Amino acid sequence: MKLWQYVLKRVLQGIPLTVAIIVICFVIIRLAPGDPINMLVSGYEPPPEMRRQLEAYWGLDKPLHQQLIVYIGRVLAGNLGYSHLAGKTVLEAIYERMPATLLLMLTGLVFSSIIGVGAGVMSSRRPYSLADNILTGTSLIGYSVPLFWVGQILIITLALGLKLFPVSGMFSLRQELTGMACFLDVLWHLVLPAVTLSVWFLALVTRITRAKMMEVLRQDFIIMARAKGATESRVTWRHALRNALSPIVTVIGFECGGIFMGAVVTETVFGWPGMGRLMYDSIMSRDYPVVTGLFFLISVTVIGVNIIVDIIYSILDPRIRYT
Amino acid sequence: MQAAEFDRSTLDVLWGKAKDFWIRYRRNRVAILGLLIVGLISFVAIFAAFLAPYEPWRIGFETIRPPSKAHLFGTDDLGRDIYTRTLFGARMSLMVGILAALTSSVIGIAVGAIAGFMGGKIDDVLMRITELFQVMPKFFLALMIAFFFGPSVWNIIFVIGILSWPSTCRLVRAEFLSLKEQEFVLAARSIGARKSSIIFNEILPNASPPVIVNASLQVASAILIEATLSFFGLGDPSWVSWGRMLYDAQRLLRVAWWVSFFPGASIFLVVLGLNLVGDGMNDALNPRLRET
Repeated sequence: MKLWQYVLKRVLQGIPLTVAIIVICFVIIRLAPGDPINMLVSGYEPPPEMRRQLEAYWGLDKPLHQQLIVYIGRVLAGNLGYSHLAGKTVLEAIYERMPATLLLMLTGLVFSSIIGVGAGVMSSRRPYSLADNILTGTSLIGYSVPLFWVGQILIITLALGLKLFPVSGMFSLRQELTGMACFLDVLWHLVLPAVTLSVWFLALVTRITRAKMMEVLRQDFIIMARAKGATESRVTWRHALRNALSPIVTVIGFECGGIFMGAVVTETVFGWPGMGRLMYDSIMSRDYPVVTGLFFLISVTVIGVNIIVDIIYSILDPRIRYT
Repeated sequence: MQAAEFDRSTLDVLWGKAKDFWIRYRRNRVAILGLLIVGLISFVAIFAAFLAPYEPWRIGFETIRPPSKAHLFGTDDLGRDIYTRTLFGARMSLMVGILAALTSSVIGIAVGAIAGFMGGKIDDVLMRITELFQVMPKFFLALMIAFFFGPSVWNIIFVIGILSWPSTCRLVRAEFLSLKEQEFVLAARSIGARKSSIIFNEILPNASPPVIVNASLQVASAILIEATLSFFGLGDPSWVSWGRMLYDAQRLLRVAWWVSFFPGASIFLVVLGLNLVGDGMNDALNPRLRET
């Protein structure tokens, strides 16, 4: 199978999943207690004129299966609805919050992927040595600790106790900052949330890298490489890590939904103005269009990332295209 | 199976295997530590009412007191004793953790066994459904369901169970795929055993070790999800929960570190213990992985 054929196949496989996600959004709106129109306008009883308009607009005067088809068509056309509570379209409401979350997530993701792979490789080179035991122990701790508690403890010790970092928010509110000063200010606010978000993911990447590296280092081609006289660092990084990397990348892709949930928790603890806060606030205020819109976008992002990861995987290791 | 083992009952074989397993598990000191932690917290959960000096819901005039002799872990803004509440919180965590892991294991085993054993079209459809559950943002869905359908403890168990089964399912399916090709299954088929008997009596017992390891890790992850739901104020209000205590602590961070510290440390401890047990069991089941 050529690369483009594989890409096409994976993208086609993503379509039924996406439709299934839309159906679930629809079911959530229908199943949630109360009348859908009340939900669409976020809880209050609309005037009869508006009710009729909305019913016609959302096709609620048609039978259920037609409603579903109308809904799927609407979402696929990129129309996620209108949030009457926020007074803007769902996409606008989400776009507003996206940069803050992306900044937080990407910082966490890059930081933990690089450090995690490095730590995992270090660990696997001398299994059960002192360094390995310390790294394995630390990653087990990071894997077991609840994120929101890490956030709280960081706030208590570093922000409130030592006053090194701000307690919450993304900007200093007292002064107007521009240019470089603003950038540094955001960076200063970013440190604690990014560290909090990274704890779990860093631990996960370290654990997986160590396990995969130990599997690979036991194989014959490693002995072969050593026999040829390759240096230990060349064996580790060029021969072993290259082969261990693809399963690691897969896990990183699979867990990107998990890291978003970490972002939700982190944003709540630190008052970070991102999509996570938006999600929490919209559930609490029963802003259903935003809830389902977010649910759809996150799920589709996870599907997309998984497809991209599979494609990267197939470039790193062309064999899997044939299975 | 060797000829010598034919006259021994299945129970004897299992007992022997369990004994071998324990001998290997016991050598791992860290795994024993995990077992002690889990044992201690189970003990606390069962006997919380005898160990606690106060009533968990009793409010008092001594609000926001730091740890002292009268209140070992201090009090919160309603004057409730944090030590007492931490002890009672173990009940919620362990109950939700164990029952949710049980739910997800049952679903995962059923779906995985059918998919792996039947293969073909059925397998395809079931695996697509599994994939769907894997790409959905689990925790988001859990928040929504807990909010819409009311945060009772049973709803929370159900939600966590219904969202956590895919990993078990994949594991069981993989085991079934490799085991169903082996000779003992062929032997069972050739003496005319029914499909259900092959699944439950032949393959499942052989697939169970990794499933049990997985279940212990599922308990840990269920405890974390429950704590997180409660931290968002969506726990069962009629149970004392560590996550709920941390929710209360969020507004007291500036004045009372102890309100956050002790319940959070408890969640950490029980999850760590379960992860250590899971890792220990894994090492004991695959002794070759430890060879260097």
